[in-house]
Amino acid sequence: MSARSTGLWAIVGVLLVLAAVPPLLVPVYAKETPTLWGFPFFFWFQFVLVLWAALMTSCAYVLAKEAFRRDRAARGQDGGAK
Amino acid sequence: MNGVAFGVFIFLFLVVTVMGFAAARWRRAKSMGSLDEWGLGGRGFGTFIAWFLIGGDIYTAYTFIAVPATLFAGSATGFFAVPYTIVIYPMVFAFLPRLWSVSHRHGFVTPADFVEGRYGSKGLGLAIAVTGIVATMPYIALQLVGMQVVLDVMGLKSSSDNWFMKDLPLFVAFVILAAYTYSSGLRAPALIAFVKDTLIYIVIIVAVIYIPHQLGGWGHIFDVVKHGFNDFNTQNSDKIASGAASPKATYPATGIGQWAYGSLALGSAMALFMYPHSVTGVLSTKNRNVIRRNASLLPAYSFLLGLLALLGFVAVAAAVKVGNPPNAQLAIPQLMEDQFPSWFAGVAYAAIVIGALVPAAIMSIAAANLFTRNIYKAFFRPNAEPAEEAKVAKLVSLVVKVGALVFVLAMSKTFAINLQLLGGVWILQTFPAIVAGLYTRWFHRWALLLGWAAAMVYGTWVAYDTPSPTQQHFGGSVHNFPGTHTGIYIAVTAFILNVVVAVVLTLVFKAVKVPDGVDRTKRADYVADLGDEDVEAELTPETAIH
Repeated sequence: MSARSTGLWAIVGVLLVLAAVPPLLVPVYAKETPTLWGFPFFFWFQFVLVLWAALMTSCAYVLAKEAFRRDRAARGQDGGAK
Repeated sequence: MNGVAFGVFIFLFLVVTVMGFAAARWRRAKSMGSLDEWGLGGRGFGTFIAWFLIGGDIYTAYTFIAVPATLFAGSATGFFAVPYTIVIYPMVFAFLPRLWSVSHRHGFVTPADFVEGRYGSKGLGLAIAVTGIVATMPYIALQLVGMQVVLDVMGLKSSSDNWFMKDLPLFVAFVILAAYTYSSGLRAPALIAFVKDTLIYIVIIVAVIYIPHQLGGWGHIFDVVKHGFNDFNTQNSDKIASGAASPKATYPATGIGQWAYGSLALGSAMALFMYPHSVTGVLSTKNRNVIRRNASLLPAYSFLLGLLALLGFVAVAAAVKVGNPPNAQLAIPQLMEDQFPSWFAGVAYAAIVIGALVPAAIMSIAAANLFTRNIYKAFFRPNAEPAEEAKVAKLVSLVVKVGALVFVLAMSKTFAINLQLLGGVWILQTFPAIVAGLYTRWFHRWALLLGWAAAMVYGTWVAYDTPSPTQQHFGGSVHNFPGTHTGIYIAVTAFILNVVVAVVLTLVFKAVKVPDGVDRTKRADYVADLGDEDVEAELTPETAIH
């Protein structure tokens, strides 16, 4: 990890935590209302969490790719696989 | 038996059979005589293929049968499969690229290869390999159970009492699977996975739109289910109070249910990528980026799985008949039989059966890789050449599949399901050695081995000791956390014990200076990528045929 990538890796970590932790906070979403298109909250909220997690990991992917590139540049390697 | 449904089913089955054999020529290499080729498909799969392969690998036919079946039976806990498959991907993102890098630098094919190289301990490697094999075997057997259920609903079960004649169609399907896995290796399931997932996506999307529409919409379905469950609970309140029946619920309303739900999601997520077949999928990818990109693309399957799970409730609302005594696993195939026009029911059956073939193939390849590398080569033939390794692995893949088949045909299905439950508990116990090892060499190899052993014994004993209204032993995955009345996933409790033992004994062994093994890996190995020294590119396919 080089000085130039530390910040990026920290953001990647935060994004991953934001993706992984909400599904584990079961009491927050274990309820019936409000319903959406007939789906109880418990179910539709977890579908939203799937999309949310996909968004977070996608952002993390873009940042991690850049951070990884900087690390390699700092070690004098080329950018690795594209 | 319905002729149209059967015809469509046979047609699709023949298509994938041809693909399975043709796969040997797909992205063809100079020689199939090494584990890198036969067992990892040449280590050259890009994002697109890997998405199908890994998706085909972890969302199995049994998942498609069993998850909705739990909801159908009145346990909303089964929906934990959705948070479970959300939590997985940030973890995949974090640690699997490191495993990819170190494995490519050192030619590791299995997770046990890595552990052996990292800790300089064949014993610890053996423990990881044996855990992987025994956890995978019942998983393969359950794929067969999934196939059996579909063949049953199609009316392909003959009335003969002979165990061989009774399941002849299953037997035929499995012999074909074994033959093309033998000749094409990982390329076969990788190619068939395209068909499998396309069919599954079509079937599920049609099912979640078409069937609820027929039944009066999702809101109506949820209402019917809720009232049905409430009626059941009122009528059976005595039995529920005495523990002879479980209450039904549409979501985990109590703190106890919520702990079970959350711990099942977390424990299963941590366990999934410890399974050798998941690692096989990951190591077959072309470069580091493929894994991370897939971590953000694979949740598409989780969305699908959630919709599929809800078909369990749809089956309740459609008042599907599942035999007497009731077998909840018939719910989804029977729902399709009842609701779809017969040609489309044929597509649905084919989707599930092909959905069993893909993971069964990958699992048997992964188990064969483990046996070859970490038992055969490690202990009996240290100088085995790559060609000999490939030969042994091909034979072992046959043995593994035949074993799973005998398992399902000759023994009780409950036994396979119990063992699958145990498999999840067991495989999580390889997490400390593998995942901690990717970041640090702090743990002592014997401490990890003893932590693993303690957790294996404890987890097995607790699972044995867990009753349910219908079974005295192996009654479920959840037990009361010691000293509390809060039920959590057994694998998680055993995992905590595992880590505590490993930490305490590492401190002890370090204090008394017990020799630790030699680490063959270097720091830089964990971030190596395609193009670096010693990281070979795709093993030169003669001509890449697409």
